[in-house]
Order: sequence, then C-alpha cells, then structure tokens
Amino acid sequence: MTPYLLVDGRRVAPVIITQTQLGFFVKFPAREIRLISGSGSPEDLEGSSDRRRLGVLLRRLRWERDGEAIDVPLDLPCFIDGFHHVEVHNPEVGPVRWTTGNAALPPMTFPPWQGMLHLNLTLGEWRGSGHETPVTPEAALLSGFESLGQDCEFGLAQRHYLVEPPLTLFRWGGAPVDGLIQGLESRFAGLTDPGTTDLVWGYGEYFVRTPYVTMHTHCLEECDEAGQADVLRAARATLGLLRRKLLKDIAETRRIFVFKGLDAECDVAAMRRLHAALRRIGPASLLCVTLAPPGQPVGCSERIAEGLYAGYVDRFVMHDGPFDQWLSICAGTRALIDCG
Amino acid sequence: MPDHPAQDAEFAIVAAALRSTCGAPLADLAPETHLDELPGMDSLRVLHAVAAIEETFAVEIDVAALDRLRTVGDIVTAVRAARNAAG
Repeated sequence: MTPYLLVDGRRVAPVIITQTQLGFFVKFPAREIRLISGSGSPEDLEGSSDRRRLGVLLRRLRWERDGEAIDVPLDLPCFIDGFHHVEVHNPEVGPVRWTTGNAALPPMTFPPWQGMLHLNLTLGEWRGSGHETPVTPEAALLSGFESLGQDCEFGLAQRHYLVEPPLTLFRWGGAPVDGLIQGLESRFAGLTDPGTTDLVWGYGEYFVRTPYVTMHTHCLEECDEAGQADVLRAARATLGLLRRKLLKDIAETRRIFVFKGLDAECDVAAMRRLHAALRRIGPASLLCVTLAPPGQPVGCSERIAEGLYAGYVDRFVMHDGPFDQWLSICAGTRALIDCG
Repeated sequence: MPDHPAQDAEFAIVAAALRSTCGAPLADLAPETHLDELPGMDSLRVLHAVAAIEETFAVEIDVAALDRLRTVGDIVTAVRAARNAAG
C-alpha cells in the first residue's frame, strides 16, 4: 500500500511518489498528523531476529512553503507515538527512524506557518510495503466502544489503533460528569436553544457552549459578528443532529460507552449515577476510566454492577497515550461483558 | 448523475450545502465524489452540511446513516430515504 497521512482524521494521499520520496499537501492549522503505512516484522518476512513491527524508514522530514524549508531533526525525543528508537545507519546521512506503520508526527515539530504547506518525506528505499495494514483485532475490539467524554482521549486511542471514532455528540464535545448526568437525565433538553448556547473563543478556536457540553466548531479564525452568528447557527443545527445520534446509540445499545473521569468527583457513586442516567434511556453498558488509586493495577477493568465497569490508567496524557492501557481496559471489559 | 427531477433537486441542494460548507465552487462535484476529497472538509463539517440539508428539506435523516456517509451520493440517498419516510 502507498503510505498516506491522517490529518485530524482525514485521509491525505501523497501528491509526489518516487522511490524514496513522498510529498503531501497539508493544510494548517492541524492538530494531529499520522503517517500510515503497511507494516511487517523482519522476523516474519526474512527470518531475521528483529521482531519489531516496521512501517517505513524515515530519513528526512521537511516542511516547505514558498521556497522556505524547515528540516525536523529525527533524533528529537518527542518522536514517541508510533516511532521506534532513533538509529544511525550512516553517520554521513544522519539519524533515521522506523515507524510502526501508524506514527503520529509530534505536534511540537509542526511548522510555525499557516495555510497549505508541503510535507516532504524522504524514506529508506521504498518499494511499497508488502502488507496492507490489516483490520486488526485491536481495531475490531475498539470499534465496539463509544466515548462519552470527558474529553477526546479515548477517541485518540481509537485513532491510534486505526478506528474512526463514531460520529456522536462527544466526539467533539466534553462535559464534566455532573453536566453529562444532567444532560442524559433531561435527554439534553434545550441543547440547541438560542438562549442557552453561545460561542466562546479559546485555544485558537471557537467553541459552542451549552448547558451540558462544550463542543469544538473547527472554526479556527476569529470573525466578525455576522460570521460568529453563522458559526453558532451551524453549530446549533449540528448539535441537534448529534443529540439524536447519541440518544439513538444509547437506546439501541450499539456500543459500550466510555467515560474518562478526569476529576476526583468521578468516584464510584458518580459512576453509578451516570450509569443510572444512561439506563433510563436504554440498556447500555458503561465503562468509567479513572486514574488508578494506590495499589490498583493499571490497564485492568472490574465490574462495579451489572453493565457498569471501572478501568484504571496510571496517567492521562492525551496525545501520547497510554494507549496500551486503554486497549487492555477495553479488552478486559469486553471479556467481562461476554462472560455475563 | 441523477436522472429524475426530484433526484436532481436533492443532488442540487446537497451540492449547494457542501459548497457553502467548503466555501468553494466544487465545479466537479458528482454523486461518487468522496467527501474527504473536498477542500477543507472534515467529519464535523460534513455534519454541518447534513444539518443544513435537513433544515432545507424539513426532514430528519436516519442518524444511523451518519457513520456510513462516504460520498456525496450517500448523503443524497440518506436525504431521499428521509423524504420518502416523511411521505
């Protein structure tokens, strides 16, 4: 397969493909850029003792705009998610890195430019990977889960394993546990009312704020009053659509719902209240993931009540995981549910 | 391409909503055009367009279809189903 980029979840194919070069157009601002390729293990393919899963060998990463260029040093320590350790095969060429087939370019290496930029990747002599990235067991597992917030970390974990998060209210929105419970109990009544929703600017983007949830708009440029009214109108209409989708997903038990309990308020009592609010809509299962208390194993899940599970991670990190712990928690929860 | 006046109208409204959302003329838009090929389009903007289309036709599409929208034609099909369901 030909490698491609996932830019904020959108597939971007290369516009330049040579034996050693891939060129992409990438529009900034962008939050997440993943380099996706086929992958294989040398041990499987050649009988070598190298058991790593290897995607492509990255020799140079260059951003270009109007005759300017920025070369990103590949030995920066921020190349973590989906990259193997830096290697030096030829001192005259400099450091290189293998990807795993699904690598996130570190946001701190993004260029300080906006608009349409060119990303030029120089790869080890590339003849096309032997294997399509398969629909992995991990992807199949995570497809059965759906985020309820509190933020987008679980969605990032799904993306890490090449699962496109479901289109629902909490793909772009977040709410603390009390706001979520209130929303579910009222079926998000008034979510789109002009009197209770407004637009706020922060972190370089407009957000629509409602009584229950604050949601991204993907409008990244400040605009005048008329422009803000347009953004708010579109956001309200979209909120209505997403509200219907969420309530239908809950009612039909299409997935296991996942809530990331970011705050200390998300204790077992709050989990039970949240689960009860869900169950008033449909027979949904709920997994609440919180920071592990002292002595609690991480990456594990446990049954709190019928249809209610708690999972534990050792840290919340957003862009850099810990994705393996999320995966392990979901696998454990699935097993608990399947065992009845 | 659509071969029925009603389908033509549905495609035209869907196309107009996508053009408005993208802020681009999208001269080559066709039913088989993939949504992720449209300039500046992402999944949230697809939903903005779908919500605008619902308002235009005064219908509610089956939200179960949202996760399956890949092409312009998929939106047209979802809108058509909603209009048929509404009678």
